[in-house]
Amino acid sequence: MIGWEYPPKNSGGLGVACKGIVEHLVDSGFVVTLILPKFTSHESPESLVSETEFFTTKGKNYKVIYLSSRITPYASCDLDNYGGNLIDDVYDYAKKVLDCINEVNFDLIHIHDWLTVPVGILLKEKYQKPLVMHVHSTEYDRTAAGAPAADVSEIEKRGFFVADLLVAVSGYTKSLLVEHYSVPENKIRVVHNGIDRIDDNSYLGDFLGGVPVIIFVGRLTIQKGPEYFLRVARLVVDRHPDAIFVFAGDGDLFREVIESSAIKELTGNVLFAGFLRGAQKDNLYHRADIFVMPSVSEPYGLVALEAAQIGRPVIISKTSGVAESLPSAITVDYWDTDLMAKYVNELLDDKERSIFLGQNLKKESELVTWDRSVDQLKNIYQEASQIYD
Amino acid sequence: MTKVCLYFQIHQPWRLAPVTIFDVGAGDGRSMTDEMVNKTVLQKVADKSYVPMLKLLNKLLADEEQFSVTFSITGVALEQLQTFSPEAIELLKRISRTGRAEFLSETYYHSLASLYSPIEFLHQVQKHRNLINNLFGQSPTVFRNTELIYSNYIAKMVMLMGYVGMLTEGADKILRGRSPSRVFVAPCGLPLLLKHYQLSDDIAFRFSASSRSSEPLTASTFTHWINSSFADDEVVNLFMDFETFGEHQWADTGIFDFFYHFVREMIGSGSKFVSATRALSDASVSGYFDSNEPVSWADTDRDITAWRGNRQQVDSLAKIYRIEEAILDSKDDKLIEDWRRLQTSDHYYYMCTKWSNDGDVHAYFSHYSSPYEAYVNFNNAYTDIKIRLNQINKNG
Repeated sequence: MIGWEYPPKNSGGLGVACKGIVEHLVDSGFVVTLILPKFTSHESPESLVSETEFFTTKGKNYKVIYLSSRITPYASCDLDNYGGNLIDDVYDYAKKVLDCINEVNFDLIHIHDWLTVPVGILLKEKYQKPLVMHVHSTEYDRTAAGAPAADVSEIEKRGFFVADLLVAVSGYTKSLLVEHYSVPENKIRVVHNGIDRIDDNSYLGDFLGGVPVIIFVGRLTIQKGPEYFLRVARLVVDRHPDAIFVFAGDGDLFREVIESSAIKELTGNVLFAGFLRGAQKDNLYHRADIFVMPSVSEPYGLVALEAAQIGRPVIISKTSGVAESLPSAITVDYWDTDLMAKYVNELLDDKERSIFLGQNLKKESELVTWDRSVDQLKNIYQEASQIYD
Repeated sequence: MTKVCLYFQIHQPWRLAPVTIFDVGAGDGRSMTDEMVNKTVLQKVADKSYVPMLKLLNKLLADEEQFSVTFSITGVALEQLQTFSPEAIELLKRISRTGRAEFLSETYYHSLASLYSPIEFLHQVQKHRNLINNLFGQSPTVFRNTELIYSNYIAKMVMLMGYVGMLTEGADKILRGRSPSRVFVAPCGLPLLLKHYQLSDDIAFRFSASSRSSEPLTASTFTHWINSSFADDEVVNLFMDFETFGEHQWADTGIFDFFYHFVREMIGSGSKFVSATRALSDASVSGYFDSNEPVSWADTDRDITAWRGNRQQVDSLAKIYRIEEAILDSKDDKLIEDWRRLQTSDHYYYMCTKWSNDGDVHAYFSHYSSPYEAYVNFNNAYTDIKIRLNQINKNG
């Protein structure tokens, strides 16, 4: 298993999903060795080469090998500020993985998104083992259908081409792979992410007392549509002057979003919580009245599932995969902020409907489990292995 | 005979504690300000600057009859000095008792109320007057506004409050070549003393060798510059932050020695030091100082863009003053006090995104990692106040 970011050092959903997959595979009897980059800055000399640790899940251990790398997970979103040559660093990392893999026995290679593609290709060539590529997001998503970084797209496409099977995190992503990347449909399997149950007792205390709270959970980057959330905020605050909109997340648009919020005169109505994890994040879901995810393109959108699990009404863009797991979720075109604001206003005005919707979403979220995802993965592994028999 | 008016500003804001989203509207009654941080900063500045410089001033006042000095000290700074550095307060009282130290009026909270709310402005000036009277037994007659911010409109308010004069920046764009060392009048008739910024900044910003092309400024050179450049009916107004001595310019630059010898040499050469009130009567009247746009002593722009230069600042300030009436109506003393502390101009200064030399100055004074972090924290603190106000209104 070749990953990139991993909790607790994740900044996005990929880390969460990767951990869910690894631990539930281990739990159901697979022997998983996880290889992760360990970030070293361009300034610092490369001291660390590799470091092995054992993580534990439900009493079982799995091996994690960290290799020093200059790659940061979402580097492609902020290429201007990336210190070095991203592509060189990706290949440099791939070679290191190849060197260290001598000590590892394996039957199948499972990679995640573009950063791990060079590793996957080199391993497949050298060992002639099946290669499964998990597609959590594409450059098309990350650049919000704008101008994808050509180098990144190129690597990504190589992965789509060379992998024996692709695992798309949603039907939405599958259709995107078919339409925008011309991947043959019969090569793609859809496996929705699972979700770990959030402890219902995780609510730590009162805050934002007595005001309606609407939340955005995700990186502040063009893909996630923070500007649309602000437009909705502006429209809703005109009707509900006490409403508080919270951004939980950091990202390359942090400054722009703040400036835009101030231009819209939303000081005191839009708050910036920064990147939250664990109990703090759960706390925010509990406190929220409505969860909004206006992503321009969202392969899955685990955060919407997290909000649903706590029984919060969920409004999401039509261009998000998680809608497939949450049929009751309110879906809107990401750009249709008038309609989104209308839904928010209605839910704020109609508490009963809001509670009813939240309960339905909660029930739907309960059907989404990692066990189910891992069962599907098992079949895909088998299928991929048969190609080599 | 040359006359010099020395005015020193002492101000320390109540810096905000980090306010997270989970503190906003949590109703736990915790303090909005961070006592430890404020205490640490204040005691450091008191040790390095206030106390040694006040001792030096006391010595000069005792030794030299022709020496006098003018102070303006904000209410929030005096609160912190009383709590964290009683020694500085005692030294200031001793200085006041010499009868040759003048204390000016300003807003208690070092706020920008003069730009937003005449009623709040008046309140804060009155509150500051009371404190100066209680501590030093003086009733100020001359006014200095936050950061020397001046406009014709502010001058009119100050005149209506009964002050005989006001201090501001000798901004080139208003002076247009006229000497800042004479008395000017606002269109309403209020006399003004203008900061001679070149000579003031020679001490405040350019004193040490590191920022000068040549050697550190010497007392004889500076005395010579002043004595050879001004007529008898002029008063050279040297206005600066008190922290210049020992904090902005560290003791090892020789700033204390410089100041001591500068005063001695000036007086030795027959020149004298006058208070602000005295300067207003000693210098001849030159003409109008007419500006509807606010000017200040900050940054190279000499305007108010240090506090209102970007949308975060503009929106934050508008929001604070928008809730004035509701806050005062709440009659909740703690809420009103927190709201007033949020008016302190420093909170907006930290949000400034102007870069260049001024940006460095802004960063020097800020305890935030970036102007955006400063906004985020202010936004949380402000929202907390808004929610508390909501709850009082609901329960009341």
